[in-house]
Amino acid sequence: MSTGSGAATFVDRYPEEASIVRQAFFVAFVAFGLGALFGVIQALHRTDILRFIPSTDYYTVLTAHGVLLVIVFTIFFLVGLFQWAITRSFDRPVEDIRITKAWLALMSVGSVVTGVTILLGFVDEVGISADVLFTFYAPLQAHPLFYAGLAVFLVGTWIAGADWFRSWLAWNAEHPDDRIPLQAFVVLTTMLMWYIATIGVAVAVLFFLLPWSLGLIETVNPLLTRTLFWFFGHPVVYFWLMPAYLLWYTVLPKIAGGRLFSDPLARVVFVLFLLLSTPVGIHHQYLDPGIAESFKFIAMTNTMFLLLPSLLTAFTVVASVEHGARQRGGTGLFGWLRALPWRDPAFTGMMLAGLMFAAGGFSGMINAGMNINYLVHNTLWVPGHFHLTVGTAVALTMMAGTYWLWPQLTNRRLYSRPIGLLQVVVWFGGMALMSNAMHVSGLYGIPRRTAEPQYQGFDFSTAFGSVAELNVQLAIGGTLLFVSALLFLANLAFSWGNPTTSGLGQTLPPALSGPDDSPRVLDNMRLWAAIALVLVALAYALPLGAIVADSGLFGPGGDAYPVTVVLNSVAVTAERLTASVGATLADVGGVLEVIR
Amino acid sequence: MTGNPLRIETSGGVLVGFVVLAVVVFELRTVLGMLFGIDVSGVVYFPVALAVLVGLLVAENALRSVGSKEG
Repeated sequence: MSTGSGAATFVDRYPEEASIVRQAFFVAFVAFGLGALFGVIQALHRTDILRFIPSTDYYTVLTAHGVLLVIVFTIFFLVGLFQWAITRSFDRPVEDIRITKAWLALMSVGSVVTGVTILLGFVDEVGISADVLFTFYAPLQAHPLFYAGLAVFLVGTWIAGADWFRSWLAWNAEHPDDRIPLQAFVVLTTMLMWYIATIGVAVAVLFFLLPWSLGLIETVNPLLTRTLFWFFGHPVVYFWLMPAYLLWYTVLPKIAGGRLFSDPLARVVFVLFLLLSTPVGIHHQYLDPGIAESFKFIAMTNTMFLLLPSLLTAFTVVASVEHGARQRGGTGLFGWLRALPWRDPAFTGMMLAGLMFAAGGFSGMINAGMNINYLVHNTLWVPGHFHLTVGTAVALTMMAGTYWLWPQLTNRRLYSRPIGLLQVVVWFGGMALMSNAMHVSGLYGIPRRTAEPQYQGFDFSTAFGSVAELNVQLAIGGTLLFVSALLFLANLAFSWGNPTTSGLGQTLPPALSGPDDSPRVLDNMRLWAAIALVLVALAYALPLGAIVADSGLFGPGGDAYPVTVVLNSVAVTAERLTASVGATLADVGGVLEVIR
Repeated sequence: MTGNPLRIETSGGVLVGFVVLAVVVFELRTVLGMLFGIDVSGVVYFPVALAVLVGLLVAENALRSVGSKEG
């Protein structure tokens, strides 16, 4: 573990901002612990290895696992990291700490409301539930508090973005000729993407799902809410990923002993993510009827373009790490790998996360291909894929990044470097076992999102081994991941007991090819935001228009599931039942009349 | 050792290398099964793979010990 360069730490220079970052990380890690617990319960339950809950509670566990990990853990870590990055790279405190505290409080309140609403699903007597999974589109219906909490959380993230843009404007007024520092550039482009992406989910929640769950409107159009969800649901993947990219681009080269290979290439990558990450969401809907194949084909093409920034990243990050290794005395075609600081959990965690991300990229290409997607759609393959991407590339990088950031934020050393190293290696091994089992099971047709994947009187045919063997493998992998999560949390908790030390500060070196090697147009946020909006309009205007034209804004009708607003639903059901019985009696009467 | 003050050779790299290699060897059975239709029994494959990996680890450790004595 790096022992520090003797410079002042972030907490020395910006104590209030460091406190904000620590608070955001605290919420993130509480959610991470709970999410990991629900994860291992699922892994053991659906493989029938060990069952702690009745299968009727499975969807409560699944929703809590998804929402706590991919909404609360990732996004709270993101806002903490981005606050650090903005303050550090502009080298100035926040403009108004009250605003900063306000958005953190809003996000926290929203998360607690949504989280508690989900967890109340375990208590039948209360009559409140939100077993709608992370993909919370209709016809699944949650209690209104679930959507209200999400809305408050979302508003919090928007204010956070505005807070960072305000810092940029203030900095820019004092440095009109300077290029935006790379870390701030990542934050600003990511937040522009977030503003565009969340239009879809905000419309879905505020205009359809929340009024529907409150009983203000009777029906919604399920295809419309699904499409609006995926308008947000794919770019959110990059929202999770961008903090990992920020760490790979700006911190990993430093830990490796070198410097970022190319700042201009990094800027191109983040502009491409801003432009391309939103007009692709329909690739999650290849099997949805009601969307023309041509729109799906366009989404597939856009998705394949997204490989470009990922491949550019693979090149730039590996080149930076190789430069670091050679600075440390590494030689040879592959011999430089031996010179890298593998004993440092921050470095090893990020490298293993990057390796897993490559594998996740390959399985993602299968998902994105229209024809081959039919083979794996809604099978266990899909969770296998996203446990490699968000579950490892993102989560493991966040844990590894925390090992590096922790002394900067607290002036305390990490409790144990060997435990940290063991933790990241166990995560890598556990995920390899679990995601391999998931991918193979998916190819055998084993479904996702179910507590009981087996069918009575039916055996899945296997190309090798057996389903029982895959189940054991999945359960072992899931258990190792849970153990790794506990090691991470325990290591941090014990670190808090370490005495404070001075001289733990770290500086980040400039890139080998700096920002002045790139055209200034790359820093033109207005231009890229405008182009991104045009691309989104081109990709979504016609499909959304067609959906509304075909089946209306509020759809052709149909019942929600589960029924959460009891009184309203009973009244609606009784009304429909009466109408249905009346119509049936009229038909019977008509038939009798004909017979007579 | 290179004499470079930044470089510290430890068993960290060996641990990571071992785990990555173990994952690759583990995945090989999936490749054999899914791509080539060869169903290798796990009861045979995993103990043999583990023995080979542990053998490699011991050999690497021995070579490093010899190297450090000579150095």
